[in-house]
Amino acid sequence: MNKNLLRSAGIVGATLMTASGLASCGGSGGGSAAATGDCESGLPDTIKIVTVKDQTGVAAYTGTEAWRGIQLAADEINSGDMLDGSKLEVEVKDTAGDVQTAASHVTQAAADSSVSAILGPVLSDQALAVAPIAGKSEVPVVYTQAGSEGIVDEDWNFRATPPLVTYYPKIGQYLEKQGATSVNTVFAADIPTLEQLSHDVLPSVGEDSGFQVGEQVATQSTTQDYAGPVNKAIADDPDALGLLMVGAQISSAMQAVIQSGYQGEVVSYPNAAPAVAEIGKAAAGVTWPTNFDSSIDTPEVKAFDEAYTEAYDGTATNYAAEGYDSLMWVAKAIEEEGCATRDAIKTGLEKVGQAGFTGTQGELTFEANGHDARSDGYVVQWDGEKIVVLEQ
Amino acid sequence: MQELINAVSLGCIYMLFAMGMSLVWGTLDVLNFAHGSIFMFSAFSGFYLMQETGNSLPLAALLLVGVVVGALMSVLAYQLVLRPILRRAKDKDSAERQILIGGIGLAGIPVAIVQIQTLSNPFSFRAGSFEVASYDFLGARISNIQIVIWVVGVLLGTAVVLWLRRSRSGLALRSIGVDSEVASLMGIDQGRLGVAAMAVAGGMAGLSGALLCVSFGALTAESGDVLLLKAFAIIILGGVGSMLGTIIGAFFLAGAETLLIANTSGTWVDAVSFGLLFLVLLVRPQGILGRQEVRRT
Repeated sequence: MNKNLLRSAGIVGATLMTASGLASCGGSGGGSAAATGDCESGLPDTIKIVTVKDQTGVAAYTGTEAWRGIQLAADEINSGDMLDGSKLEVEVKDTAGDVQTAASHVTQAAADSSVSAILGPVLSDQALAVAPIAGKSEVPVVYTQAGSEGIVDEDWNFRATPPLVTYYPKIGQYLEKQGATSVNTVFAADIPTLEQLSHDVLPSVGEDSGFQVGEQVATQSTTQDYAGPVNKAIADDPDALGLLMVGAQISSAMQAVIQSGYQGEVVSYPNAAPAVAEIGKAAAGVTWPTNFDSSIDTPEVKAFDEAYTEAYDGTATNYAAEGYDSLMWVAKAIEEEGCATRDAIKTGLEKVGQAGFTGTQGELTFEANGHDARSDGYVVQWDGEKIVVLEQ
Repeated sequence: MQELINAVSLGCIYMLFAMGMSLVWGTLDVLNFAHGSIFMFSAFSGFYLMQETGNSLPLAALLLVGVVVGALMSVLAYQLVLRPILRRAKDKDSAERQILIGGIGLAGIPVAIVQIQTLSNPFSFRAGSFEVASYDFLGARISNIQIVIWVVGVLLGTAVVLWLRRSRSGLALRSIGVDSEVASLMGIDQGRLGVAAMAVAGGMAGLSGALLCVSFGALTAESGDVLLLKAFAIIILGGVGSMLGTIIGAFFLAGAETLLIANTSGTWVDAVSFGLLFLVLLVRPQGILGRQEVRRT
């Protein structure tokens, strides 16, 4: 073999090893204390939090909105001196919709001893890959979205978004008030949460709220034309129709409902918000339960929405609110323990979780020993021009 | 009746998308995997213009934007990437392979641009000067956009078939598909006809993109990928190079999907659609109206 090639390979290898060694030492300069140290010296000058969320790719919107909320929370915490002179330093790593990339970023952050906590990915497949890494590396990871089961089973994992299925039953009160006795659904069968809503949650809610779920039309993530599925679902003229799918599919399904001339109630879930805004007046009356909306009348939501509008020139989204609450939870945990080591943050997150706190998502309580957020949720409706809160 | 209306509308959508792809595959030997992203980017261009003009563009203008952007993108892809590949390839097999890879590479660029611009959110033509409305028709419902799709589908489908069968340029284009060397010897300008065919194919992709964006309510950066797979199945089903076969394939697939949704769980749709593709490949590899390929050694 060529000797020059061997020499070059050796130099490159040595450089890489040195670089990785330096990286794993975790530069703790600039007054940042090692997150794995002790708590005797109190809070360090800076506390490093790494955010690992999609900034590009299929879930870019969810991830970038969460990152916006996180930055707003960091600004508020730092400017309000919430941590006794200690500043939060937040940085973001893009998972680009890829499980391996998410796992790699979390592994790197966990190996950096200056990182106190991680704000984890929004997609369940990424979160499921990351959760064991958090447990093994003993670094607290707080997720937003990522609603699948099993994610917070590992000891070091926390979730700041109440799973959809826990507050979705609120829609039962609305349907009962409307006198609905029959509900049919069109749902994306390859998305477990939506399949669960259609097959388990809605029928169970119906038992208490006086309606029965009849025809449930399964579709796939590849379905684009919803005329057929919608016509099948409304064939027996149900009192209400549930549309449970993602992204452009909700717009297509709603368009198919409008074109079909169906006059009953249409219920959906928080992903419907951008779709109804795009469709406009024709989508008036679409109703869904949510964990956050900028029109909700609480001081926390108003303050957050004002800060969001000032910073980003738009109305705050639920993803941004969840990001904000996730970092606030971490800050409260640090405040509670007076310490920013990983152990202390984990203990603090559990204590704050067990006590619950009021965030932009309302009164948050936590299950699974303070690891998994819950909220009562709200029922909101699109009136053709804006979202209005029906049940608060 | 409702199923029939739905199937015809879906068939027209599939046909408009697949005909352009079939045209350049059957004549220029270009299996253009960027066809789906041209479809999507043309609609996105309309969306972008709608935003810039305060949602004031009428439907006709949106369709025109779709046609122009689609044709331009398709011609540019041909001139800058696909044609140089065809010229430099050692033989037909390697040309096909390289065209395939080149098309996949090309397709990624518009998708990435739109993903970045929209943060992967759906985009739509917000209610402009065209409102979707529906009417009672023989006991079923039909919308104004479905009627537009039917009319455009019938007119364009007929026009492309007649162009290829009756006009001199159409016959010349078909002759390239049969034997490009002999066509050259007969004095057929392959470069000019190639550009024309790519422009027609891209224009049809752009037109279907704009129509679907109105009909479906919204598209995403990845919307073209799903249709690309369906078009592939349709062309194989109808027979590569046969426009009439593509039309039959489009309506056959749309009919099968509509019937499946009406009578079974919707989760069977893709499995059965692509099951049909396998079946055709096994039983009649040349497709319904395709001709048996003869290779002389």
